[in-house]
Amino acid sequence: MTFIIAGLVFSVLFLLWHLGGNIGSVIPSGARLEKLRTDRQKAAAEVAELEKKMAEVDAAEKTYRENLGNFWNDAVSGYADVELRKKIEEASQKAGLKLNSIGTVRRTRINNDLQFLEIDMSGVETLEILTNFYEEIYKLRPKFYWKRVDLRQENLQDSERLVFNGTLRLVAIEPVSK
Amino acid sequence: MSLFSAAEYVVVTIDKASHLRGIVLHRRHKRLEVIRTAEYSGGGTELAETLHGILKELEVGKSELLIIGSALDGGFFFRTTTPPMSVREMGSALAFDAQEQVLQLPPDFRLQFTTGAQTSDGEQNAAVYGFPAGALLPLCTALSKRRRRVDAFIYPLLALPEQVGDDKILLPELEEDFYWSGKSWHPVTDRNAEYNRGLLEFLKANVSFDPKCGSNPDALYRKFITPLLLGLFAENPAFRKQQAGLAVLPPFLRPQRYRTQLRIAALLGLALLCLGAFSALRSIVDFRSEYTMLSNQTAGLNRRKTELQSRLRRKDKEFKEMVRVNELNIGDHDMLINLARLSEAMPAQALVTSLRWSENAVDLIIQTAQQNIDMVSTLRRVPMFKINSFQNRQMSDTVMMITLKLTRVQPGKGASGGK
Repeated sequence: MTFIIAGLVFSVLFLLWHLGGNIGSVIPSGARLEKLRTDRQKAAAEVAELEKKMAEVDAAEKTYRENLGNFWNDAVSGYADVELRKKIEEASQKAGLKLNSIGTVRRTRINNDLQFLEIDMSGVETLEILTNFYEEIYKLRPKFYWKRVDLRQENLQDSERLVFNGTLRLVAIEPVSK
Repeated sequence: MSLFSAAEYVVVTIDKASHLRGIVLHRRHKRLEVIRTAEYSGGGTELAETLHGILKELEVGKSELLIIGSALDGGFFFRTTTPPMSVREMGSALAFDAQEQVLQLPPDFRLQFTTGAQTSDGEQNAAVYGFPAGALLPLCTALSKRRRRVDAFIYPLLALPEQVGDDKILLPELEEDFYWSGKSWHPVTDRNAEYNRGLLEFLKANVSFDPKCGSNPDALYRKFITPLLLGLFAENPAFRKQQAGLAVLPPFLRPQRYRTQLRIAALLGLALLCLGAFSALRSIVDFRSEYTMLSNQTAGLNRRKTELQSRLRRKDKEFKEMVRVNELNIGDHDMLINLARLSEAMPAQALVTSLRWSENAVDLIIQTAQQNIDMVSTLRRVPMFKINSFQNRQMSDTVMMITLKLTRVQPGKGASGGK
């Protein structure tokens, strides 16, 4: 008898442990099931919303990584202060444009990793040659972006030349200081 | 004795000297076992008292099957053969047969009989006991007085197995001076002759005594030979079929036994309980299964939610910075293409004297000699631009100056857009 009672007590304790102390979870109840279904549905909706946000984050990160390839990197393209001017000069030479001036490279910080590079230039030439110059700039890699372009007619009588002022801009990856 | 345990049989025999012998036996391991014995000597007391006394000594309740065996005053016994027939017809046939078998029949008599195996000629052996109608009255009175019901009253020789039919049967409850052998009574000439040898062997082969009944089993077999004979007979499954021929007690003295019906009812009840329990168990298992599945799924989703929230929190600042960089308006990479589109759309009569291309807009100063030139509708065809402001001024009689500003329809997308 003692063995039976001990066995009974052990069985009850085991069941309580197995059910996490919640003996009610064994008793069938439609309301409890319905509540669980609602909870699951709510959790699933919240997870779907978060997944969507996560997908946006991943897409933004992917775009950012792709863009990094289009930015100026001193380690790949050379020192910007020198190479930018050099590339512009080469482009103008190819187009047959004689630039009056090419400014120095200005740097503006975007964040800890990136910075804008800007360089001004000016010249006087026909629209055809200027167009050739723009085409040469268009071909350059990494991409060069026109921040500003001013064109106006030269004030000389019957002149076909145009006075050109422009600013090119790039995004550069902050060089890692050793 | 519980409903599902082996049935217990109580056999009490009464001899001519009102000496009572009783046994309680039940089936155990394919053998009958006597578990209690008792003897009770009347000694002038009433039968009712002695019967009550021995039953009390045997610890008999109402659930045991009670058999009383005795020879009655004026009784007669014979063996015969009859064609197979129903109990009622056989009773009538045997009553008719008794007139031939017994020399002097009582005027009003009752018969009880048992049937045996069929003979080779198709007839059936029958053992018949007859007694005067009033001979049972003392027993009935005693039973009524003690309110005791008896399952059967049996004359001992009716229970005699056919295989010991030729044995010399001398039982204490029967005639002292005659023994039964074959189909007739014989006078006892030699008291030292061996009687009941075959019957004792038969009983010893089928019945055993519990050790607490006594230390000398051989003596016990001899002492309780008649109760053993009747007990073995009553315990035989064929006894039920014989009961109709043995029924001589009035119905009010015979108990109504519902043991089988009660067993069936109990089994049915148990089956219903099992069915209900099984159904409930299945319901619980189904519920538990779905409950566990839903709980696990919800827990998994909550874990995923926490994980995503944590990742989003970690990446929130980084995400905002990446979006800001992705949407940076760096400038116009496709300026040459846009300039070509603008040139193509520009009417031939228009002379652009000044163009200022900035991040978000294009300012144009145009001179034309055509007075009715429609620059607005012309430039509307240029993709990605819309006219923000338009102003024309007459410079002279023939020249008109138009100042207009085009803004981008889509704001610059910076590095990713590549305008």
